[in-house]
Amino acid sequence: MSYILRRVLRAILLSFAVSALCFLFTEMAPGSFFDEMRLNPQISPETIFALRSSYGLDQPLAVRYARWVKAALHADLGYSIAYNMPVRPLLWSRAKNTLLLTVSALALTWLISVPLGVWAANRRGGWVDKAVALGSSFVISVPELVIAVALLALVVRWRILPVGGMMSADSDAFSTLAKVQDLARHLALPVLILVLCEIAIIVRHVRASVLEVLGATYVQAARGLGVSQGRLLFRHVLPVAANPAISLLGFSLAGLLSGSLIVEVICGWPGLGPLLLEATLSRDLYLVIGGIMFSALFMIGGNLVADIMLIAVDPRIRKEGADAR
Amino acid sequence: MGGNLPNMPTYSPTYSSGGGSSESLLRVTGLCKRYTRGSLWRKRVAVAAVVSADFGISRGQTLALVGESGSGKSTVARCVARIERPDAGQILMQGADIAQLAAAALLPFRCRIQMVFQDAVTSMNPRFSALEVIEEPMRIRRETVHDRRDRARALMIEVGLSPDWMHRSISNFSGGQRQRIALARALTMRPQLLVLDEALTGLDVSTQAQIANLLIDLQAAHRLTYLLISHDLALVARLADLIGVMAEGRIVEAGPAQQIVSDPEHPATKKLLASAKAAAGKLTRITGASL
Amino acid sequence: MVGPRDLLRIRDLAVMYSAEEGVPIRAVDGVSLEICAEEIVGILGESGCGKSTLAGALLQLLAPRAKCEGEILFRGRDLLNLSAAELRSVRGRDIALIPQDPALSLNPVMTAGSLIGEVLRAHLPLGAERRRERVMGLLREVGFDRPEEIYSAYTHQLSGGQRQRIAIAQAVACRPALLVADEPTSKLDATLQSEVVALLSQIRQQHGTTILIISHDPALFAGFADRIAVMYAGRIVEVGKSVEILGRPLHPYTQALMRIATSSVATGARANMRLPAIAGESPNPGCILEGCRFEPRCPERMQVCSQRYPQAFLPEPTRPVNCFKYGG
Repeated sequence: MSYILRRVLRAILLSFAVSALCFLFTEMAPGSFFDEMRLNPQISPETIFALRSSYGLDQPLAVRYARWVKAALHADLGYSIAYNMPVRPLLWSRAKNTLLLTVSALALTWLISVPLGVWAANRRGGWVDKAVALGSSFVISVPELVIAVALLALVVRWRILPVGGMMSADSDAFSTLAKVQDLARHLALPVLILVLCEIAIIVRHVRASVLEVLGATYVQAARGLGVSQGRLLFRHVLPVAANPAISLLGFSLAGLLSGSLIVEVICGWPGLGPLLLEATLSRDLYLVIGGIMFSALFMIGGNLVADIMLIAVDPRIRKEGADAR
Repeated sequence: MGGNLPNMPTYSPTYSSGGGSSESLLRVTGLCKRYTRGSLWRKRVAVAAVVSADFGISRGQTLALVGESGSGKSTVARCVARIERPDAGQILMQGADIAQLAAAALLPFRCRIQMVFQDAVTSMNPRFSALEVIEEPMRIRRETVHDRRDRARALMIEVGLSPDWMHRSISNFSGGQRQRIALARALTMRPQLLVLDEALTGLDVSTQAQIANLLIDLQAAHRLTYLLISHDLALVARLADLIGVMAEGRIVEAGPAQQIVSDPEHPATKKLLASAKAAAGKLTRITGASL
Repeated sequence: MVGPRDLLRIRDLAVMYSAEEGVPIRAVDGVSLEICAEEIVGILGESGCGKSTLAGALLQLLAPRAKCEGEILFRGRDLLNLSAAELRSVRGRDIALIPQDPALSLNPVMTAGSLIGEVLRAHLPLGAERRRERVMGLLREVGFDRPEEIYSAYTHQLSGGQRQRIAIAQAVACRPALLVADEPTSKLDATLQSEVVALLSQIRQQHGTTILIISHDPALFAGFADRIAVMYAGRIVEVGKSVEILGRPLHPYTQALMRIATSSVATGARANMRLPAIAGESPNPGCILEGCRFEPRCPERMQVCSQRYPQAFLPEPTRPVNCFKYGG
């Protein structure tokens, strides 16, 4: 399976490239964490210098990068200056929440959009198809931020869902089941916003690729041999149509992740978003790099999964360049 | 130039037909083209499409290269038309070697050598009108609108299309008509050599006959030279002066059409002839036509 | 009444494609044809004459904008009036189609075995194990000596000839009474063409399958088809025994076509000899003539030819020909 090997190698190379760029850009960004301290007359330049060297910030960029990579390979992502604690536990406590949000939004998006896209394509020109076309053009044309704020306003006005945080204040007293329910209610709004922003594009892509495959000669041929419509759709059409859709999976993951960072800030979800925003504003160097690297690894991993899923679905890729005909 | 190659005892490249005209137009020697397969992570493997091909065509003649799919005949055609750059060998067009010429130096030869493909549709923009397709090469050469229009009109008549149809889009023409348009477009450059890559394949029996006749008429009118690529020996035998049989990247047998068809020597030729005759045999038994 | 041996009876079939503007295009017009059980009938015609539309109409596989009129009686049932469920059970089980281009008609992400198995699954209640056995048997039947290797192969791993065999195995999987083969050899080399024809003959012999085969090449029918119907511009112009049509054609169109076919067969002919082509093009189906559709290209046209369409005359008792040469 040299295909998988190549994809994995590519993913690793990509991770290094991202980390290098990340270092370079944070270096190029103006200001540093200690700039505010400099304005404070009570802290002497010597103290600042000592602090800088204690965090290793007086070293040249290449050395810092090499050190960081070496440490990161041992799962040590450095030290947060602002929180005065290692980056990894800090990041992980927030990343869990972002993962929960992103993965549930991703699952929901695909669970809704694939059947909907297939249905719309199968009944082309029917009411489902028209509704999907209308709804998706509406969602695509409205800026995501507007959707998020509008939904937030509706939810606050009607008091249907709790807003802010991921648990109710008194949740410690709940039973396990009640805790899960409470979490789900808090999760509902940010997930809804994310799904709504992402789903329109994916439904359209699924519909288009299913339609294309439905018109293929081999589907007509299978129909001419008496294969039923349901079997035709799910056994003959969907595996072929899945190819472009799966490629889209990685893309949608990127969209959801970057979307969730914003939605978290809007909805007060204690994920990476608010943390990263804060860290960026205060120039908390290693926290920013750690956060970005986490997001990047998540996306690279997601794309890797999509690539591997492609082989499972499409035998033509398994053969890619394997032999000369 | 010329001379027998040691590895090909059956073929003499200095052969000239009894047609009378012996002014050499094209001479190909030692043509070789490999394709490599592989990628960044994979070992590269060279696949030889054409191992070695030698042949010559005189002005006004038709040379047909026949062979099964994968025998390398289309690659030879693509190299002669210089759509591909051969790895080795000479392609002498009236004495000038065009095998390795770069784009700019090749330009004057591009006009003299034109190619017509099997599926004319894929080489044309389906949204273009017949006129736009035909005058496209002239537009690239910056001829005036008036000249272009006149020439396109004359060529449409010559290939058997009504000039009234010049504004119809390509998608409204039948397969045979598109092949006529492709021929008209090739003729705008006043070529000396037409490379016809399976240009008659996939057409109906009656359309094929029409286009074959058109090719014969055009050849006589413009003193054209044809390099005809086909897998159909029966069809080729009617059009070609010379036939070269290709198998596994080599010309394994070559000679006058009559000789190849009546007295084949190489097994590949015999196989092609046998399948042509098998299809024909049943029909001739019924109709009484003679082979 | 439908005769006991008539498997398929097409009566006055017309297929119209609604055009975006103006009158609908009649791709098939007034076609009547009877096919007996175990017969091989060839439909001979050029591209655009409506022969593929006819094949599509038999299985109702035409585009939604196509409209059929007339009757297609299969064992006495009109195929044009079947419900969706009835149609599905007819397709593949009673009538199966062998497509023109196997490269396009086989699903690229399914193995040969599952492609054939899908047809069995659609019609027969077999367990997975029994189905696999049947597929192996079918693969052997269409000429694969080692079916295990082919079973798990994908279409891109197969040659053109192998793909066409898979398509044939699909079509014969449920032992249909009628096989419709739409130009089954036009995308194959000459050697493979004769192999496919031999395979189809063998299937007829072993299972008594009726075959309707469509081609533009008269040579394909020689020694294979029992009867031939010649189509020109959407209509059948002549029907007769294969030997009669090919050896002694009566309609001027068939005569011209056979002159070309026999001359291009003559492999030893001198170079640069013009072929006996038919001048002109077949009419655009959008503007159909009042009279005989071959009239503009016919060397023997008469005044009456452009005035009305010739009905079928019987110059010989068994040979209907739609040409005023033979009466009127």
